[in-house]
Amino acid sequence: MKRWKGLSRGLFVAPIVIPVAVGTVIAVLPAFGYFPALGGDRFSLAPWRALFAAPGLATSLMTTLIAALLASFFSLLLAFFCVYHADGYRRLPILRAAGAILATPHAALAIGLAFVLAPSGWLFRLWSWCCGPLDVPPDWTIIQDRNGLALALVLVIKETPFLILTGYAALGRLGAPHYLQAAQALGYSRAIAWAKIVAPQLFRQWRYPLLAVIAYAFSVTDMAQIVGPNAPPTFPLRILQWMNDPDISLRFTAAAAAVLHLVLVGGFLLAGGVLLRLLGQAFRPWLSNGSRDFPRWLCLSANVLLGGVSMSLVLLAATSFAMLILWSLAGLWPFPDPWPMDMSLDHWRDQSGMILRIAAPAILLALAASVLAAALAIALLEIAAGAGAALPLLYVPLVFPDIVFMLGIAFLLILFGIQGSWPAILWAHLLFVFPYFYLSLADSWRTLDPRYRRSARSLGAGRWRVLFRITLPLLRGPLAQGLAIGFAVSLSLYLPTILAAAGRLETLATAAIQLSSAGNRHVTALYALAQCAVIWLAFSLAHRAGGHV
Amino acid sequence: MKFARRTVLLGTLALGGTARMFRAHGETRLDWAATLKKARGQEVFFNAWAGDERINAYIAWAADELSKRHGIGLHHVKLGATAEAVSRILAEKAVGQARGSVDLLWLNGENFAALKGRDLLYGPFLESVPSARYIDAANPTFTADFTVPIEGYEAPWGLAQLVFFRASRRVPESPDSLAKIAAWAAAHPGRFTYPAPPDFHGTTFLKQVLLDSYEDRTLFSRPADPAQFPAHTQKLWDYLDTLHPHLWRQGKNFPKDSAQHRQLVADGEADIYFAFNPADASSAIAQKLLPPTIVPFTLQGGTIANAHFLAIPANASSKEGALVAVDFLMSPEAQRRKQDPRIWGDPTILDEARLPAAERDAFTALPLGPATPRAEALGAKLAEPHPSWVMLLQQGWAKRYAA
Repeated sequence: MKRWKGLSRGLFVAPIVIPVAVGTVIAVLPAFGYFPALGGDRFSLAPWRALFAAPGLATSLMTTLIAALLASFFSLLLAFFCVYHADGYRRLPILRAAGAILATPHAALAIGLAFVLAPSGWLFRLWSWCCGPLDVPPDWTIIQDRNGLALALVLVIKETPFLILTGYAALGRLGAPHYLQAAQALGYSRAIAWAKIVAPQLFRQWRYPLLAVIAYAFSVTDMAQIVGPNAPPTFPLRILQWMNDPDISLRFTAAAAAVLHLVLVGGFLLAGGVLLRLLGQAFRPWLSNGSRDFPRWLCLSANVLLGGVSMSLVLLAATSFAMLILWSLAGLWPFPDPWPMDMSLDHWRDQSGMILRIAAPAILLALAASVLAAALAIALLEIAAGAGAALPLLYVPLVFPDIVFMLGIAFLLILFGIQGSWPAILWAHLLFVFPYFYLSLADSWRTLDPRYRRSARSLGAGRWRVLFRITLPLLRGPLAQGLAIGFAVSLSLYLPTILAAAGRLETLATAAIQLSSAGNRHVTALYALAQCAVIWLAFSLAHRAGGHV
Repeated sequence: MKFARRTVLLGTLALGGTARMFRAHGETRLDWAATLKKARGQEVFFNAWAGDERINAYIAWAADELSKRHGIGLHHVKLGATAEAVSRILAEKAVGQARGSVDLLWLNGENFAALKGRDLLYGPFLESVPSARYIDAANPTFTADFTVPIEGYEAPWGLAQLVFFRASRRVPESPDSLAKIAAWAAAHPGRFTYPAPPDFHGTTFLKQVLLDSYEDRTLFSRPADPAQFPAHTQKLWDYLDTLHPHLWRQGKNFPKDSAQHRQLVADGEADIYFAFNPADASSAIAQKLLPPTIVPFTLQGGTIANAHFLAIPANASSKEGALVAVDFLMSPEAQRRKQDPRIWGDPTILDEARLPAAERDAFTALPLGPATPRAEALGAKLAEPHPSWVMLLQQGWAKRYAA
């Protein structure tokens, strides 16, 4: 039985793990000087010397580290606070706001936010309009600051909803309502019962989503390009620059930098895991001391402070979104006008044909990738009881800078002569969709009360019948959510689409990124809105299907 | 004019005689009728930067025409950066893939130097292309791309020259030299900036300052000498050290590229920007990205000029189709449409003196656009320095201003 499990596990993780492993090795070789097509035919440490000699490397690393740490910490804090309230009577507004923000593409949110906050942005225009006209915007650094604070802010807005939704989905199956009732009957307040009983379990459920959040915060490039500093840019952007430099010898430096990035993020995740464990141990005496005291002031000030912050962030996101709508309709919109000089549907009319033409294949691809990821994950969990030791490898695509990693994958595709074919594109997407899907399902699957399945089996139901009639319906929520997240991930993939399709497939994401390099806010806003519309549709369908997503 | 002559002379010196250079690669001319026949029915994957919808629409038009006239399927493989296609070519080379995914590539300068230097390009082919007879082959812009001899391995497609644009309401007079720009910036703190190198336009600004500080520029047609580099660039760094405290955000942050730079002018955060396409502002005004009050200007003593090209990778799958596409894209009809500011506004590579009279008149009749300088007003064209200067300039800049 055990051997069978190992074998089937190997079978199901192979399509993901083998390419990831081979792709990683191919991508890592140039870091040690090996890349024969570029004349590197012997191993050397020269790429590392070049990397460490790069001016501003320490600043770039520091900016990235500050932004990622702040973003991860505050996302977790706010998500914890919001899930606590979502468990109460503020369920709908919180979940709706979280869903809406999660469905907005990263770059779109960053562009909108930059336009709200910049010195020439909407807030200053509003100020100029009502409190005395400004001739020129003040020369202040608000976005693109050196410490990456603006980047951290956008990351918090974008990542908190992901934690809220995964956390909330976990609550139901943790049996939180029962525990809370029991605890309150024993005289614990709701807040302290939550802190002592639900929170420790919730944090456990959050392990993988948090891993994805941290990895993303360390690796983000699209948002960093808009709200991050440029002199020097963040570390992932430096990798991108080296990789895209016309001087192709810099690709050696890029590969070394990608390895350094992988090691740093991996090390940080490990350290974070240890820290959480230590914190858990430190809190254990308090958790089990039976005390019912909870400082009222703490509760109150947390509510005021975090509530205020959450609401401001939601407001900020909503304003950013409104700006995108305005820009897609605007004609000329110079400073300090708070509204565009003229508005029309011209941009929409010009672009609608193109958008409709490229939306269809993008949606099909996203559907296929998320359904395939679901099938693979379910098979893996049902037949092989999870990914086991192969788990960390599944997450490499999320942590390794995709521009370097995808080059390794591109080698494989060319080697097998399938570059540009539909299976190749689908499979490249699967590498990124699968980990997200797996992490939104695996814990729910494991914590599902085994008695349901056991009873069904004892009543004579076969294995497949149990799967389709008991397990999957019970996991409807996480399944629907995973499908929606997988869909959204696939719909926003740029490099994997470009490299696997040899640039021959146009999707909403590729068009949005390519057109954004021309700096046309009207068109950029429009493509962002089109992407939002499709993802929102997916999320609302998932909401219906899943019941409580 | 003195400067223009000197530039030509410089190119000639550097390359050891342009006319000889053009023959030196010993290209055997292809039988064009046979090429046309073989090209029919081929699918050509044209890898080209796709950031501007006006350019994309132009390429779509060319694809329609090629399909109608020659039965060729031209597919625009849209790139966010030329490096994406270079990556694919490299990966294919590493694997030994003979039938590559790139048939035609839009590129210039460093990308060309990198690909040609590693024998990744097909050629020489330029002399076989019939439309090449309309270009002035002795023009140094077409014999060397960033000083790297072209030798028939790429075909010119369009011209570019660094042009400055000012918001005329805030900058009533053109600061038409780098010294005047520095003085203007000092008088208007926070209103001037340039894209952060290694961005292409930011690096070009450094090159412009560097070239401007020398009377005799032969030095820059040769590879940079790292030992002499600090001495050679001292005037450049002195200029920037004086300029930077007065820049937008005190020179502690910069726009990331030319598009963001233009955006700053549109948003009223800066008053001057520059671009390589002289029609950039006209195009932006037409797209309601800039107000119509933008005015172009160039610098006394000239600005950096270059050309952009079309190349065929050595492992292209449809070489004949790519050649026929190159011929069409270089033809007077396609070039005229490309230069039309209502379509794209990219200056032609064709030599008007070589065109039939009717074609020449059609070019002359083209409108200019609201903020495009006339060709005569562009001033002297400075040649790009050797690509090896770029890396040292970028590193020197990063060490001083972005560490």
